[in-house]
Amino acid sequence: MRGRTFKNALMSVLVAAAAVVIIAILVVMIWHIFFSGVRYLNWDFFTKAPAVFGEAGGGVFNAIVGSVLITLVASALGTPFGVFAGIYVAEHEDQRFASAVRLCADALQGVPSIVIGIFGYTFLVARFRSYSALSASIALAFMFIPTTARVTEEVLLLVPSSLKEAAYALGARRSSVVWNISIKSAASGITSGLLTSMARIAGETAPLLFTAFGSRYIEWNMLRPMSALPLQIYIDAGSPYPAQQQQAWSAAFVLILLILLLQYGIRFVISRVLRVKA
Amino acid sequence: MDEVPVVLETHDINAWFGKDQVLFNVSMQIPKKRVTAIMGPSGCGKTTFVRTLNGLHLMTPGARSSGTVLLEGTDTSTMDIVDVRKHIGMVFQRPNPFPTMTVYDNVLAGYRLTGQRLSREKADRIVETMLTKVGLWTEVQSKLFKAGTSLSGGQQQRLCIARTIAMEPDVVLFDEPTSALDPKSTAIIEELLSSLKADYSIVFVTHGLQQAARISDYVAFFMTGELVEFGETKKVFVGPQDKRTEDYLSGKYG
Repeated sequence: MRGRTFKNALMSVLVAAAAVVIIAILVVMIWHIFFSGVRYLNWDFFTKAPAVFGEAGGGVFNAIVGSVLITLVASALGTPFGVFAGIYVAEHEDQRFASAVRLCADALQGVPSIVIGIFGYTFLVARFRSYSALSASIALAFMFIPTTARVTEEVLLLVPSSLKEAAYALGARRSSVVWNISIKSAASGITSGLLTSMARIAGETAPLLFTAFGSRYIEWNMLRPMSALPLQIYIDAGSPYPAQQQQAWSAAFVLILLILLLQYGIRFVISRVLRVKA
Repeated sequence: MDEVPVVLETHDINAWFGKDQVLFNVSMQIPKKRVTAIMGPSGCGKTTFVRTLNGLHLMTPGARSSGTVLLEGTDTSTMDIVDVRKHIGMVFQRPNPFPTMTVYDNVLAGYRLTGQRLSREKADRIVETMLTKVGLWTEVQSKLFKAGTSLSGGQQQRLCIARTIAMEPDVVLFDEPTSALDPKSTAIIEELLSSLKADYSIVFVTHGLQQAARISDYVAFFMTGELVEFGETKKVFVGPQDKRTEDYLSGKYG
């Protein structure tokens, strides 16, 4: 009896300790970034391009523009491929080609991001002889597609088969069942999958090093080198000047806010909207 | 049986799931505008049988079937499956209204899903007529634009019946339509089935003897994938011809 009580207490402590470690890491990280970053936040930070190296002042507006543009274009390029591949795999579960597609998506998901970067460099940057934001978007789209495809497939498989049968029994054709029943029932799941994929690529650095390259100017042209928040953090944090190092912390804080907003904020709003419509 | 016209006729239906054969040479004539009960112990193939009638059986991966189904004399295998399902509607065991649609749209789901456009007046008329037919109109009149899944279980099942008869089918298949419902909802649906036979030919699967006796005009008894006995309900219940039917009716296996 005492042995069992002891074991119970021991396990409770271990489980609680594991939970505390996970929460502590997150809290310490966010705490540190918040206090290192928030101090240097000001209006200029959000509206101006970086100052000359070594000088204080300026901002990361160029990187914010870059991150938003590159992520949006990558998502726009990747969404149709990811969503359609997911639909295909979910609808042809028993076919060999579908399993092959699923296997490839998993493999692509496992490719290290630096390799995706080199790939983008070789096939896009080197071929067109220019670093560009567009090549960064294409490289990121290759990271966006597999995650989107897998999430889409998973949420589609959660749609109860009783609903699909009911639709077939009413005389619906397959295309109508896929569109009107499966996709509409899974719409909020697919949307949050898209947002998760977006949040993931928004934080990627390695593919950008070889493709977007970075820029200290505010750039809107996708065919030219462009900055992005992760890239700016990488460059500023590695610079010998304290002003840039401080800005790197602030940029890190903004990047984390942006990703949290993508992952939870927009999802919350969209799920509300979809529920009201249903 | 002789005087009643036949709406649906099957010849030598065999059905398989992978290598397991679940139906053996089922030949049966389903009378028009009558209630026909399909009864038998669990796993006897009664659900599979009704699912072969509207081609739903073949949608299960690995499922096969053979034999012919004649709808008003026409071989259904020569018809477009969409037409077959328009003539032969189906209501399922568990109420399954579409959760993304309102009560109103659920009634019209068949039209919406097959891409048929309806004028506003016609749509309104269909919704009101069908919901009235299933006795739901007064109950849900104020909830027409709420989600179909917001209704109670029994109401959801009647909504599913409304959705099915909205397509004006000749035959309606019911696969144990009350097995997921409480006694009161069950009674309402049973009453509804009896009233629907004025317009439709009803086939319903049940494992409840009393239910079959209460509402069917004809009854088919299935066992281990075979049609053991078929005839007028009164005659079968009073004087079964087959020993197996007699045993089932006297409660030897359930």
